[in-house]
Amino acid sequence: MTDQPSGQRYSPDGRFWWDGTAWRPVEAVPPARAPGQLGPVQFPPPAGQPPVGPGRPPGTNQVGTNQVGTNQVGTNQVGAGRPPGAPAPPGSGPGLPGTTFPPPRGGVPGRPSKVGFLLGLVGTLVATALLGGLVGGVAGMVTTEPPGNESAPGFAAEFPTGDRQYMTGVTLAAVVEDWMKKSNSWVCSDTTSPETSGKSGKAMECLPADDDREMYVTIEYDADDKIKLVAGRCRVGLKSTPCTTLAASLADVVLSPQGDQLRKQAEKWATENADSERVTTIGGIRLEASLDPHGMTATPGV
Amino acid sequence: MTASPPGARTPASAPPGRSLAGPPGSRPGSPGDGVGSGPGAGGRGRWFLLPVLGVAMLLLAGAGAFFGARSYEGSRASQSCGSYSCIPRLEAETVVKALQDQGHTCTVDSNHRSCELHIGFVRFRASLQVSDELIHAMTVDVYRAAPVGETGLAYLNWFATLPYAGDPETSAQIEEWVAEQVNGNKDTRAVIGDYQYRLTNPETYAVELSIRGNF
Repeated sequence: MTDQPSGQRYSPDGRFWWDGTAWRPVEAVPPARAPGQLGPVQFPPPAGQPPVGPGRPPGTNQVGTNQVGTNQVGTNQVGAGRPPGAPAPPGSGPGLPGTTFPPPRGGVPGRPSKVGFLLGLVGTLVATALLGGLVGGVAGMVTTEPPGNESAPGFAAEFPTGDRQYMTGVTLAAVVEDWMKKSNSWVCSDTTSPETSGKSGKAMECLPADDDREMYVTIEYDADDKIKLVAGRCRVGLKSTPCTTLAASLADVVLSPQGDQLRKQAEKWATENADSERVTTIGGIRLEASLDPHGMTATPGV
Repeated sequence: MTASPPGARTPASAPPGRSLAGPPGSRPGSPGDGVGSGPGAGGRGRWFLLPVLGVAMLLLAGAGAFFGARSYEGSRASQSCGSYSCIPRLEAETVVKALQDQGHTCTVDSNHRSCELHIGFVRFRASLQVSDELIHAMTVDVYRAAPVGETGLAYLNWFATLPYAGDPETSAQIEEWVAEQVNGNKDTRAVIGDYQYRLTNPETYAVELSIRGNF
């Protein structure tokens, strides 16, 4: 242990003392207080003053009695307490006056910085992830066309179309002129009404010449060769010959354009089912027997 | 000259009686204060990493969301239209025009289109609910077809597969489902993809199919 006589000069950080020829380290002595001393441990005094008390281990903080002047510019000049010509004491640091209390390096001082960095990192990543996700998601949705077509899909052959509203080959001339007028001498008149002309097209009604209203035939059509419906009604009575004949001849007329075989098949079916509510489709034409009103109706089959 | 590490209180702001001085030779950036050069270069260097990592994350998240959104949009069978979910890309006017070309008679108002065709006593009618020019709901009925034949099925199927017109496999499954329900004379509901299907028989010889986008 080196003697540290009182009255010697100490380095600014108090860790060395000048023995007259060289700087010597201050002996590391645990802070000790005189019995009854309650005051704080003091730093070594500024240059030129001996430390108070038996000494202070380097790094011991000063509480309560810190001397303001030690950190002030000009009050604690480097070498101020150094004898003239003496070299700078170790650890005094060049050109940094007043640095008498070096904090511990590493460890604790770095921890807040790391925490701050981690917080900043997490915040940055979360913020940029949200921003990027939002912008990317919107861009992806805006620039992507959903599947599907702008044009309507094609139609199956069976799809109901306008031209299927009409019975194949049936004409107004065959029904009205040949069947009603020439063969039976019935009287036909146009019954198209403003209400039905736009929706159902034209209509015609044929009656027997005596106009007894016991039987009549209705024709709905859009043009001479576009017949939608032919309906025969008979009030003579069920299983009466006039009603059965009307149903059979109607089926014969609407199937005639499709050949004798279909015509005879339709006539036969209508004869057998004139007094029923049965329905059949022959040659694309639907025959529907009814009891109320009693009669037979021919329409396009679907 | 006073040298305080960044972030440290300056003497002027330090509380009385407290003065923290830097170590001898310390400068901003010396070891232990989190910034600096040499052995402490990691301090300042890692702060410089933040913008780099931020940009990288921005690009990464943006690219992921972009392709995710594209994939999601590409897999959807519907698209938003106002507050509804609509048949994608197919405008109601296109459907109306196609039906008119087939001889159907159509009427138009602001958010509703209706087309119908009568063949004999059988009525085919479709009602389209429109939002942003797209279709978000349809009601299709075939009335007095006894029984519903190929024509009726073709009509129902055309509308039933409109949402999946570009998906032959799903369209075939839908047509099979419709045929089963019609032939079975059932009242059923089904959720097919993004749409609710409901098929009913309100009358003996009537079939009504309603299709509505999920929203």
